[in-house]
Amino acid sequence: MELDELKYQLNSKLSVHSNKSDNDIRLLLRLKAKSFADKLKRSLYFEWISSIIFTLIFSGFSIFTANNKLKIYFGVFAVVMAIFIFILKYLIKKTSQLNEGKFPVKTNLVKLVSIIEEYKKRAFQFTMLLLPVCFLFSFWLGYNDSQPTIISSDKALITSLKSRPNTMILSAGYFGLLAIVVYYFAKWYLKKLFGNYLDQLRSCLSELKDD
Amino acid sequence: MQDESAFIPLLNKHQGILHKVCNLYMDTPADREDLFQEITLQAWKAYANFKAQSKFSTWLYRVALNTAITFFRKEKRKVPVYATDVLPEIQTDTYDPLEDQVQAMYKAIGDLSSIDKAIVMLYLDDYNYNDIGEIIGITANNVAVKMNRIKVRLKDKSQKHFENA
Repeated sequence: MELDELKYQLNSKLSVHSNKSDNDIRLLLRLKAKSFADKLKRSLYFEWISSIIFTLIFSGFSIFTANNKLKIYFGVFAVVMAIFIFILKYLIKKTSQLNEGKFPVKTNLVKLVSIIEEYKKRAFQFTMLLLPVCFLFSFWLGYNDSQPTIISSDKALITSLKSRPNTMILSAGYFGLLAIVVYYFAKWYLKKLFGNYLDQLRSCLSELKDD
Repeated sequence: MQDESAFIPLLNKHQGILHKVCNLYMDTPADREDLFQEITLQAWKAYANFKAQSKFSTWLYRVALNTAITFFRKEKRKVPVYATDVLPEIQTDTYDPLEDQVQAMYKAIGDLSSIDKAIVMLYLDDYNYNDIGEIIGITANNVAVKMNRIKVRLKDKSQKHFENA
């Protein structure tokens, strides 16, 4: 049979339900939202607040410590965290728009996909950015730790490295291996977190392309 | 703080829309309850932005479908869509020969993709192609093309379900 011939019966079948009272609905309004956008927003808020706290702590260390190496170390991390305060705030603003109920299904899907892709991209960038920063600092500042000033010891560092090729090769190998492991782990983890869901959303979007 | 006293009776009056969406998108009573709760919360959050430029029912459909299509389902709760025990049944005292065909068509609708389900649901609720297009975010022409394809697919699928019943 055709869909139109069964329209009334199907509509009745779909409408089968047990009525909820005003009080039932009032109780539902007290519960926590479980949608992906809400979970993502809560996670973004947590990361945003953490970024603010750590920026303040790192800035405090950088300003008040007498040790020049620690000043640079915490100063750089404060700047990195500060950049993420703005990126996370931007993502929170974009995610909040999804709760306003003003978008049609297609626009809502486009926005949700773009938010998740942006989040994945930034999380990956953050992870990969921390790697050379941490390595460089542990190497450079670690070496300089025993020197009175950083600048005066830079030449000594280069000379020292040139005279120890094995150390350089070992360090480069360690860094390379760590970078590969972190790269694939970050890719795998972000795919595990969002991959299937993102595929579902993309599949819905592909259906909405103009015929 | 938003006014619950205005929102709750309005939502209650239109709760049929929420149940329709939950019945079509979720297979088990627990999942339907979860989705009902989620749509209610999303509608409540969005209610401050409801400007009454469109009908409340149209706005609620948009919120409900957006929530249902993007709702994160836990895989472990998934139940095969063919399982008849999970579909809501109509209580009838006498045998209705049409019922098998309705059941077959209902299962065929259950097999559709999330987007096609949304279009069919609005079509069953007598929304015209322009309104469906506005809710889904595509042109009325595109809705018409999709609807024709869906009808052909449903006829074929429901026939198979009917023969297997």
